[in-house]
Amino acid sequence: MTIDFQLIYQENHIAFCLCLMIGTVLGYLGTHVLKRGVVFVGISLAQFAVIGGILAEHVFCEHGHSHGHTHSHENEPLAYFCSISAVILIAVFYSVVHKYKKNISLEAIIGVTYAIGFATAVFIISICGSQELHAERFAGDLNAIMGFGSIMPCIMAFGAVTICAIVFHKPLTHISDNYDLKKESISVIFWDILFYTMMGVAISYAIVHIGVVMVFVYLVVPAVIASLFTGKLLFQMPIIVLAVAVASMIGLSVPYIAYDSWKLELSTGPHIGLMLGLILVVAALVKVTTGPIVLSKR
Amino acid sequence: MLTSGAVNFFLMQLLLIAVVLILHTYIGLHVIRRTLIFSDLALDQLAAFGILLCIVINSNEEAGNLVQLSDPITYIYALGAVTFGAFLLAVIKPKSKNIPREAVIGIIFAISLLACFAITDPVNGGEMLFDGTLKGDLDFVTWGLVKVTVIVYLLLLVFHYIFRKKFIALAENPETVKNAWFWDFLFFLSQGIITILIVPVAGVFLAYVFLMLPAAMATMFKKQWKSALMLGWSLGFIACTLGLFASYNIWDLRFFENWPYSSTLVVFMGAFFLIALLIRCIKPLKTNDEIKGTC
Repeated sequence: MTIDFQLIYQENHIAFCLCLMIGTVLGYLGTHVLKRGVVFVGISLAQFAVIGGILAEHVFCEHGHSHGHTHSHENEPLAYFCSISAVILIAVFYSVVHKYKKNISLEAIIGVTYAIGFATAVFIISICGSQELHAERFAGDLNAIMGFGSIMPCIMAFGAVTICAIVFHKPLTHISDNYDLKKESISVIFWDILFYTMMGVAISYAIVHIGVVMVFVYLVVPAVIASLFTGKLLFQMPIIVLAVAVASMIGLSVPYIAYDSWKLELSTGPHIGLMLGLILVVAALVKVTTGPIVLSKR
Repeated sequence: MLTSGAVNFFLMQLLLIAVVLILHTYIGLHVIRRTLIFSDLALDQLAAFGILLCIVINSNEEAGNLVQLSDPITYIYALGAVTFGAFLLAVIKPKSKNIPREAVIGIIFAISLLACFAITDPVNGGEMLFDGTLKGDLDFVTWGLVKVTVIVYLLLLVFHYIFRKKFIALAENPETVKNAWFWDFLFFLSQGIITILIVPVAGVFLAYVFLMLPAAMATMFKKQWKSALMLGWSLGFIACTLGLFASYNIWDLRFFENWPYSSTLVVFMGAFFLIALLIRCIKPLKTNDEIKGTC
């Protein structure tokens, strides 16, 4: 068995750069998500972004294609517009509900709305006459990337989110560190909306390439790996970048190795996620066996 | 108009929903009060993984899939998967404040979902199998399944009634419970067993919604376990009945044509939930119905 690493590099270097960018930005947002204790907000926002895409495909475009698994340039702006509108709407909903909710945690509301979002997606697809759910919506299709041009909208969106994250780092961190406290100020709702909208925009562009579940995996798993060892963002970010790079590199290579060795045609997305899971297990074992190797406490 | 066969089938589903909702609402109340929101989704997905693993192992290129989604052998694989999941959920409790327990639950869910995708990916018709576990299929409902479900649910109800003090203590004062991980394991295992029975019929997401939505609605209004259980069951049953009517297009309206049963039920329960949330946000809460730590 010979593995052609040059071929793997040629075919995957753009996908790898994309994964690294998405994983790093989502990993940073993931550290906030963990502090806020709203772990599933990412998958929920991703689900509503999918609903926006489905609405654009099935309701607004009679013969449209999907935002999320095939790339119709004709309908892309409308699909992105619908996806971002859907996530902004749900971002406002979570921010307002967080302030006014009683007797129930925000995570419970997120959980319920996520399931409703999933059912609504299936519902819209079904009443529009299609029975297909499209597995790509869950795990993405990195093989569909055709050069840097095809990921340019994603690069621009993630650039904008990164700038916002740098500019508004202080207020966002302050709110994330004190998320359980009773909110009295209306500005908290504003910063909440901004944070969830940043996440929503990043997610809307990421799901086109990596799917709903991979968005969730990139958001939570690298942040958890980093949090095992340190609570300081300065030390967390290199760990996040390293975990994302290793998992993406191996995950992208697996389908090629499987095809060369056993003629199996596999998708890339799930294997990146499974690799991140494996790295998390190894990191947890290292943490358990070595004990207090905490780089810095919060 | 419905034929007598369809009426029979409709009543069978209604009975199944009525039985299923009792235990689901009760366990859902525990899950919400302990903020283990996605534990059920993780176990649902693990059950689906067990089912798919069984089908994939027992398939070959020439004969195709020798096992179908609802075959009895799939339940054994699903039981193995949820027992493993229940053990993980019970023992993994991060000590770091930076890592909430929900993160562990989320990762178990995501990895099992990706594993489902990975094992069905190389199989012919794998995508349909994957979709089948997510959406479920009403055609799997038979009187035999209803009987088994009713018996298992009754046994689990008795089990939860006998040990109710332990489980309620886990939700209200976990530090007072000795061997908490063991009681946690039993709790998650019972949750996993109901998952195994419900996933082939309802699919992963409807199973999750059955557990969460009625309990979430009840938690917003009632603190007492008994009154919360009754309120959650009633609201859930009314929403499901209306959803079932709509999916059967019993009113014979063009508007309700092609409404799939599974997601229609969720959409109706979702509408009830949003109304309840709106009322709860506007209307002041009685002091004796307030649950500490959630406001």
